[in-house]
Amino acid sequence: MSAKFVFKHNDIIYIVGDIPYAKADKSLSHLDLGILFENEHYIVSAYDETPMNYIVSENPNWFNSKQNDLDDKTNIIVNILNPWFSEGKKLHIINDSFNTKMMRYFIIHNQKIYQTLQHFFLVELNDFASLGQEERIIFPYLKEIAIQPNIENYIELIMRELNYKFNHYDKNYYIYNTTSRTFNVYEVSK
Amino acid sequence: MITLIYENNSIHVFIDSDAIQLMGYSRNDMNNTNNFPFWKLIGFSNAYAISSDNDRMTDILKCLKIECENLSSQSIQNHVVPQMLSQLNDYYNSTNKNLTTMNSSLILFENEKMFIIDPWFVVNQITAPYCIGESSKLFETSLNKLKHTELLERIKLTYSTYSDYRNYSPKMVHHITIKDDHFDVEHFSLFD
Repeated sequence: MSAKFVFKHNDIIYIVGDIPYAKADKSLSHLDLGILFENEHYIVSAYDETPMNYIVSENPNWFNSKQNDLDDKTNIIVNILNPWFSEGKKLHIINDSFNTKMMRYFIIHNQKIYQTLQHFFLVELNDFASLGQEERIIFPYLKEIAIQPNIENYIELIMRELNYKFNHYDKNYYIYNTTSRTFNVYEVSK
Repeated sequence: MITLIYENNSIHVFIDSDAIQLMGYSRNDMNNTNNFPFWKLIGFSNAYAISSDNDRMTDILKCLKIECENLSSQSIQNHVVPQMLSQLNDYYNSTNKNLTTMNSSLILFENEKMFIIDPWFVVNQITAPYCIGESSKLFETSLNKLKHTELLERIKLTYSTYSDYRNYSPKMVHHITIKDDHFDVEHFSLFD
């Protein structure tokens, strides 16, 4: 139930993640896919399930369209990540023992991929991004994804490899199209 | 390694792929200046900053609008450092105790005047050439030995000595040329 990687293919940004077995045959909401928030301008997707996630859906005003002259990356830091951090600290979610490595998110905005690495460090990307320990398996695939004619087959290759390497991976996964805001569910074939 | 050189009325900053610390991404994304630990200070016409680490602390400092007339050791110590500390305590510090150190050193420069804020927030004026990174003194010495060599050649030769010493070489070097209020970036590979 979390986003694993994001990439751009023919100018469309896709999010791919896994779905727990128990949920696969039910009708899924976007929250089930790890998508915490979306409006006209932003999509926020989580890699981890942490109490920090719930703060986002309660503060939609952070994601208004830009009203200042900051560039997009600075705007995300100042108007989204900084208040998100403050709120986490106010609610005592962020404290001495909170693992700041768990603050890992994808933010899709203005046809760009933004990714927070540990402790909300923000990286601006145009091509692809991946989070967590599986990035060393996913990255070599993502380097070639833009030139693939059939991305569904190619993603199945990646998910099959992840299933093979990490036994906690679920067989079901989704591909979310951030332009049409629709998704399809797939299963790794045996 | 991050290197600052003042030559031909321009400041040259060289940042290698190790200092940027982003592995595995596409070449285009690794060359994106927005992800470098280098930025133009908000509120100044031609002052810039470089951080020795690329992390959330750098992000917060990049967004800081510094209220300070001119850069000098004293004005940085009295005006810039307190503003930095206040932002870092609000948006970086996850404990309730006030921060007393940073992970990284920060270099601020305006024209050829350069200053370093060390991890204990002590400010010192520095002169170019100046390097920060692992075994930076070795890098600086090799660079000084070659001071009559052409700039890019000097950097490449220094990297070659440095890589022999460490038995490891960074892949890319990004060359930022700063003249007054604008800067240009070029990228070159150390394996060409």
